[in-house]
Amino acid sequence: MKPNHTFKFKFALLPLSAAVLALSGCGGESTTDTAQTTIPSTTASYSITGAVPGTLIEAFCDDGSYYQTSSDINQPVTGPDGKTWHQFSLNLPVEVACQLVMTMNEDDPTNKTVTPIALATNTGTAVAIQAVTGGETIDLGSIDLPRDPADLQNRGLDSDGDQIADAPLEHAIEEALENRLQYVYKQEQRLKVDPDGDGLPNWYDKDDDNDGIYDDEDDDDDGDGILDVEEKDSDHDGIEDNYDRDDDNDGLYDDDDDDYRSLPTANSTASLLTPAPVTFTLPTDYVPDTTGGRFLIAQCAQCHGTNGYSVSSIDSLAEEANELREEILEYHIKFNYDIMSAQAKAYTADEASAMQTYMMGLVQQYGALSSDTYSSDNDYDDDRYDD
Amino acid sequence: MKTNISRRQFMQWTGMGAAATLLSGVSGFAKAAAPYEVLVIGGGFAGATAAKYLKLWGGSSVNVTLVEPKASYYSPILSNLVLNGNLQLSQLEMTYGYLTNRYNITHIQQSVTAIDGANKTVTLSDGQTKSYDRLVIAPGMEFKPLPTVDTDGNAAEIDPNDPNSNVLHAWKGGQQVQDLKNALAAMPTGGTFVMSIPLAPFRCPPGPYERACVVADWLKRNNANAKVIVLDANADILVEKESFAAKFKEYGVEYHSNTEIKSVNLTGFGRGSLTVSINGGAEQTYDADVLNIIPAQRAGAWSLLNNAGLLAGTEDWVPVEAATFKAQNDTNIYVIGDAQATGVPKAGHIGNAEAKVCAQAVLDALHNKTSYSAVKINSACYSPVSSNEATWLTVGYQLTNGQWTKIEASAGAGAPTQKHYYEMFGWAKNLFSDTFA
Repeated sequence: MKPNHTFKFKFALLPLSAAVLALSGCGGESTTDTAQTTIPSTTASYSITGAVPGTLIEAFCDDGSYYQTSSDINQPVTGPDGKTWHQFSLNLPVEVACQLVMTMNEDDPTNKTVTPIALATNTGTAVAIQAVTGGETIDLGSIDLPRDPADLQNRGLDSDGDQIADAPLEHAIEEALENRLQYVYKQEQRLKVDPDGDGLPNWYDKDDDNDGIYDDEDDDDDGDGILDVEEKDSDHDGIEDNYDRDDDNDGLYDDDDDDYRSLPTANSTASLLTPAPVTFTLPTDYVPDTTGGRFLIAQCAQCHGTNGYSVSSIDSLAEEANELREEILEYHIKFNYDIMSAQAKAYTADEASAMQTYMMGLVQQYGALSSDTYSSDNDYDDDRYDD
Repeated sequence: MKTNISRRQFMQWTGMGAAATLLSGVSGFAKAAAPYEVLVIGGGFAGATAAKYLKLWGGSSVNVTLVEPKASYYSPILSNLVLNGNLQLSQLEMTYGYLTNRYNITHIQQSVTAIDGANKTVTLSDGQTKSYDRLVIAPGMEFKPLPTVDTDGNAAEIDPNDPNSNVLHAWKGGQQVQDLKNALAAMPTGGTFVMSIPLAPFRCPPGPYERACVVADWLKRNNANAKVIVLDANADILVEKESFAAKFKEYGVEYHSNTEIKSVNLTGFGRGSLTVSINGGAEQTYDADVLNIIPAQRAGAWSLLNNAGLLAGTEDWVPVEAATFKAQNDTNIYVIGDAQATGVPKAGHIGNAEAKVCAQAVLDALHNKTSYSAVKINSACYSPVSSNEATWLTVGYQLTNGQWTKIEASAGAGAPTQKHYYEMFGWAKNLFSDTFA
């Protein structure tokens, strides 16, 4: 059985609670393992309990804290389906809205099934809960989770087949509970963990503003009309205010070219070795890399091309140099849903800054080329670059 | 046999060779001004990347010579897609022309027969010696001997590195991959494909499981009653267990862990039987119509490295300082890629990443400068598991107390999907380009 409140790298860049800032001993930005995962002794807490078919239970709370537990195999109960289910209990802080996510088969990528939980009340469907007084135990009852990806799809909760529900499972609670908790209803209140109010905390939400464009290709993740690179309000997207932007804001947008949907090499006999789209000038003398920008950009090159000039459908860093830092940091508040979202967590904010500065220097030298120019197919070329 | 007299040989015959060698030896001691001489041995992912980045960052302050006997390299990465016909072998040929033309790297098509660390020279297969200020060695891996029984019934060994050994490993890319494809195509209806996996560490941890999946998927469509048997020396599937185990189940692959090879009986190239003990049990023999043994591995050119004093004598891999990949036993020699012993996975993507750490360290050392020291490397790969699905696996590494340690938050794995299959080509093309072009 997993221990309660196991630490997990989560909201690294979300605003931290005062308690954690005080502990960290510095008021500046912090980019590493700073998610609060235990409730300070000075904060009152309550527990939620329930029965599930064997599950990881996570809570994403609006102060940036994160809690998790697993259902307890030593507490079996008979579920509504006649099978053995297990009890769980998770302590949460009071006066903070928290979203619940339950995951079946969490260690099995093929059968992993992620389901956020919304609570159906007399007033409406609540995407988050909070308690105002401590010490309570709130029994949510038996929660009929989708057991596997097929079940999730059959219930109409997973249109893109990514094993993560597009919308929360609505779980009806007993009327007696309604007065004991406060609820956040859809769109009623803007939560930092869920700015689009769709019931999926950002960590599991690849599209924070529900505009149909995944965040890594969306220049305005939160849909507030302010481009991410111009976003001043760190409070709602977790990006620090002092983000050093590209002053010339040259209007280059993310590469929306998802031409992974085409397969450039099938039925082709073309060599898979392609030279970089620009010829790099070899220096006349060796200059050490004191900031790490050059070295770290070279660690991106296996997937993004030498000096960030891609020869494939993967984005050129040269095309979005002024967004590089922000994009890396955005991945810090996402689960590892692809190689990039995982890789990004290997780098700190300072390293991301060094990479961006170096990359912008390269763009000054060699130009900002779109990777679309170098795609072997034109099936999905981004209209903005088709001129 | 026709003999060409090289300029070097001419100089040696006329007595100038010794003087030239002496001079370059002296310049090494005296730390003469740039350009410094850097030799890179081995033109695979690690070696080619090191050569390229030494010039990309060092420019005309270094002369870089790539010593690689082959005219071009065939990528083992994506090579399982040759087996199912999705790719042709020629698409995986990595020529050295971009490195020589764009980066002014000299490619010497020779192998190295000796390394003299004290005098900072190497001897090439044609007898000439080359001096260096720094030497980067990226020899990949070589195979350890396999046990067999000779015609007199006595225990003997097979050297899988011998091209005439009849061992079909297809683990170094190139012609053997084509040979394995041809063998699978010629396999009798309802025949048996047996693959063995050695104890870790070996090159490309997901690779054998990936191959078993790709082959089983292809056989289902082309030889439906054929059997795939995987004999793994390890206690379990080493990586991406859930994805590979699910695919094995789907394809009906027979998988055995804890398998120890007791004897190999080859009746032809890639044919014969394996006598094994599973979980320490009684010996049993698996007959194969196509026998794909992936033998146990150690640093490539092991004897050369051992003779150069870079190994302690019995080690399989070369001990190095993790932060620079400098050999523990020679401050002018660096070892990268499969051959080094830091414990990070042995694979092309991370070999490329290591080469950049090494290139920076070599240039810093030559110029007496200090670059960013909090270096990081990363491992990433996509593995095809059918004709149109792939998985992915990744993690970053940082230095902790002088060792490469995983950055756990950056670890991830992805289930088999068609999207990942397409992404795989975007990854591979940039990896190939960043390494060889």
